[in-house]
Amino acid sequence: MIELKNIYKYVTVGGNKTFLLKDLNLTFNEGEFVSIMGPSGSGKSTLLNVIGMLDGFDEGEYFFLHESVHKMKEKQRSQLYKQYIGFVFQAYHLIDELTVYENIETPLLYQDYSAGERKAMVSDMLDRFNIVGKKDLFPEQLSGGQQQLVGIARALIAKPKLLLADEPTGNLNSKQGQEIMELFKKLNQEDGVTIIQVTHSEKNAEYGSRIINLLDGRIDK
Amino acid sequence: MIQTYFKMTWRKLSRNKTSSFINISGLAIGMASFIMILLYVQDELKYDKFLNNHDKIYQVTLNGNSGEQEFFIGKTPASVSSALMRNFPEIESAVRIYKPGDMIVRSESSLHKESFTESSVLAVDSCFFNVFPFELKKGNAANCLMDPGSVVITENIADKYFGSADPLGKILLMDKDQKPFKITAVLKNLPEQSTLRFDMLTSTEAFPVVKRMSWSWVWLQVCTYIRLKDKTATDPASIQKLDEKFPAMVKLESGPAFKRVGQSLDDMIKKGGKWDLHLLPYTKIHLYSGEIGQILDTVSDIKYVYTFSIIAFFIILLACVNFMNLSTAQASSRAKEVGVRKVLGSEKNQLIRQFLAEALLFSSIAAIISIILVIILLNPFNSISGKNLSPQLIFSGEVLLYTVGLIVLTGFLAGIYPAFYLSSFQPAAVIKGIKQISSGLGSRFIRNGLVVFQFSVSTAMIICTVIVFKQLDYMQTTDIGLNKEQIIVIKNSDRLGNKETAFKNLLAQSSEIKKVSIASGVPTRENFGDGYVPEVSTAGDQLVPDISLSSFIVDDDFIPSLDIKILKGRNFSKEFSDSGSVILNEKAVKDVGWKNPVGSYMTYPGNANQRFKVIGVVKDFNINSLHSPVTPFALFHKSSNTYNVGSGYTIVKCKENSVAATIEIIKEKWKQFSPSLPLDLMFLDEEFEALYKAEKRVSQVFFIFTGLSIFVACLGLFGLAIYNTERRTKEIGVRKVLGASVSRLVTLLSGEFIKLIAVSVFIAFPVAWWAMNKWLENFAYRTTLDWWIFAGAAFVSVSLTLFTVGFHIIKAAVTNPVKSLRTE
Repeated sequence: MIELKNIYKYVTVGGNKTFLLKDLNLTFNEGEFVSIMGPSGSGKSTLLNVIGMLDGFDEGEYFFLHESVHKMKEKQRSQLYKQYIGFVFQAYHLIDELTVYENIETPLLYQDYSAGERKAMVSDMLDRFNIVGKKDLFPEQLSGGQQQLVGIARALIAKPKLLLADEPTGNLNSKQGQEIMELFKKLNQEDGVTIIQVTHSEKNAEYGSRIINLLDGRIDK
Repeated sequence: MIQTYFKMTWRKLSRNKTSSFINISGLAIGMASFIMILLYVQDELKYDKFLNNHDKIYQVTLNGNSGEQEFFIGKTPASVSSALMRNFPEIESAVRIYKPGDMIVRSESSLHKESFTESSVLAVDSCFFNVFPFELKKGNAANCLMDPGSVVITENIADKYFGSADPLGKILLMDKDQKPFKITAVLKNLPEQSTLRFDMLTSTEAFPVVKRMSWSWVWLQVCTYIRLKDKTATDPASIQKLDEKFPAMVKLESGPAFKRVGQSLDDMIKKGGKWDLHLLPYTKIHLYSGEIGQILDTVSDIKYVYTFSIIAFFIILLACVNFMNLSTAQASSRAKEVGVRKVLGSEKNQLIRQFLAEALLFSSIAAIISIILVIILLNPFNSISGKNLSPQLIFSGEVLLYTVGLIVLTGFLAGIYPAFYLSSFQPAAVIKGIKQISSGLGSRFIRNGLVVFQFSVSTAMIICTVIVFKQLDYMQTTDIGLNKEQIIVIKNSDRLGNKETAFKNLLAQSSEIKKVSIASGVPTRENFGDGYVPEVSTAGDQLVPDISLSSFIVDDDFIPSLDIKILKGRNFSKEFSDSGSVILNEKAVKDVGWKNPVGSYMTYPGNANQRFKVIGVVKDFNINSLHSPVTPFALFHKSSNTYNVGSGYTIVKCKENSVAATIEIIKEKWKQFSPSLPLDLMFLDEEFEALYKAEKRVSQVFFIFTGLSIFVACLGLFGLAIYNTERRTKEIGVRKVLGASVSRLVTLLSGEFIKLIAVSVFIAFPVAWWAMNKWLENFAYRTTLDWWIFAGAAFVSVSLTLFTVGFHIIKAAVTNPVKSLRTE
């Protein structure tokens, strides 16, 4: 599904190149659940952003579903990730001014769904996550776990093939974290969603079928 | 989608109450100002357009020069109308208007037998309604003025004299001799926007003086208006051609008349004089004829229309600047939303649309509030601006169109920068939590530039307002060479006929009254002018060949009543025979060029070269507004009998604090002398004040909008201060931990704003200086542009800034650093 070949990303400070990602070669297959680990500053989030096409890279090749991302224009890339990728963030990043229902609906607004379709899809998602009763609340009225649940619901609403999660449980207590991880596992196994998550926790990493360790921008073997 | 934008904006608005309030109230005030000024300007531009043939009416003006001074007036000789009709088939009709002055009017059959003084009576030729098709309520426009004994009145006058009874055919007794006039038509009340204002119309034939002077080409007491034939009126070239044919016509027609007064037109032109007629479109009189002497009511000036339009534009701009400033200042808090939306698949132009929709919603709300504000504020605005604007005008198509345009324009103006700025954020950077976006150098530069712009405008407006007020004050308090305080003037006191002097003597006996004088005119009113030839009195005198002087006919008590200072010679006195005496002012003496004026002679060619001996010279005194310089002036004694200009004014100088008592005395004595005639009083100081009515209005309107623009600018600064200190919370915390004192922090934080204000002050100075110099050119007497006005304005701006931003800065500076650092 995803193929990264010799990916480099660096910043130049005072004439010296500091590498954020260095010569990464990775392949992710459809249906995988991969955990990326590593200490702070090892490039985990940068890698995730590159995979998610939110961030560019300086050298190398990136194929997504056999399409070469590195040759695409901004607009094509955005078209691609809009369709196939869902994001989950550590800080949830819900929009404060929107209700739970509207937050989940937002990605659909940027794709061509009719109002009726949107309604059906959001209702279905609310049902599935058991948050129908909270649909008219604003994010600040929810607990952290509930907010992350909404965040995941939002990431899944447009039926992405790939779910990218940047420390999804980082701001949650262990019980809430565990629930989220169970949910990921279920999504992966029952719905066949490919998941790549960045995590600090060994325990959470174990939910994945594969663990990649990063150190100073390269794979730590 | 739009729906979602609006919903979201609404929530944002109720969430961020402070910034929403600043944005919306600023915009609403800006829009309300704009709408009010729009109504004002519209009203000004509407003048006289209600006449269905307004584009065919022209006033004949005279550009003349018979002596040393050129003049440009709206009055013409009485013979011009017939001469025009004889010579030019392009003209459909020509009407003369003569203003006979105050009239006593009484109705025979009225509710009350009381008589009134009517001051808006015009005498017009019978074709008046052909040129000016004012709407009649009753009667026939074609023939209602055919008979010399007819009068046409307005609805108001009909109500005043006859109540609900039908006035048609009734008789009004007019003027001192109680001549009967029959009402032949009733006019609808004149629209507000009529330059021509009157309550009654009579026929010129009822005033023999007009007929008597119809031969003359120098008697300038009527206005002449023409109606052009349709073909000519619609073609600018043929109007131009018509104008070019005037000099030949004047030459042809005025020959005998000029010969009769002693100087032929050719001689006059040879000496550099001229006597040219021109056409002035009637609809231009209101705004473009300030320099032309008119018998019409005070006209306005296009300059003020422009000035107010510029102010309206600036206030709107200031409000938009607030919006832009606050939106970009809030960028850091919105960056997250932009980032998330981009991640969720929003494209840049969708975000731009969202921010624009947001701005449009803000401006729509502001527009609704502004309309409510205008409805509330229209009455006070009317009383200040002297207009009579009705709230219904707001809902006229044109104003609504402007309002919608304003919503779109301000929405875009205010929203476009934030829209493009915010939508260009990179999602990855935002998501990663880099929040320093708003402190980027570029946006800060723009934001500071906007603040400088706002305060430049405000400071310049403060300076202008102060100078306008200072000039007004200067005009009212400067020494005009006479004392206008405690002067009560009885107008039309010649109604008492030969009892007038006895009335004066009786008043003079009162202990409340210092002096009483009878004169043909008073300062601000009714001087008459004529030309004189000075005689050499001292060897070596270099004299002008002739001089025109403005004059009053006065008695012995005129000069002491008005406290006019005698510099040389003496006042008129009972001990001398003063029928051949004249008292001149300094200006007249200086213009003539006498070394020893007292004892010199001047002759009056208008009356068989009668000789007048100069017996005194008085200090210059102003009889007109200080727009114009002192005119050369002559006082003649009532015993001279050279002029027949009446003795219409009794001037009563009373003791201090006895004005009220004096009025009672005057009323009582007047009743004694004449129980049936109306008594018309006026106060000289008020008459002088009235000369500056236009300036006063303008200054007040200016004052209000200055206040509003400062308020809007401060609102913006206030909002900016909040965000600036928020942005620097961490920096403040760190500095505090490192040992900075509160006072040093306050200096640091306010210094940034003070610097901006300093820059704007220096932009404002030259602009205001230039604008005010230009404005002061309208006045012959000018106040000075003192340095303290500029310093004061700068001080006010800085104080306002400190006051506005101070609260937040001090709050931030005294906050415990532990708190601010913990949140990071």
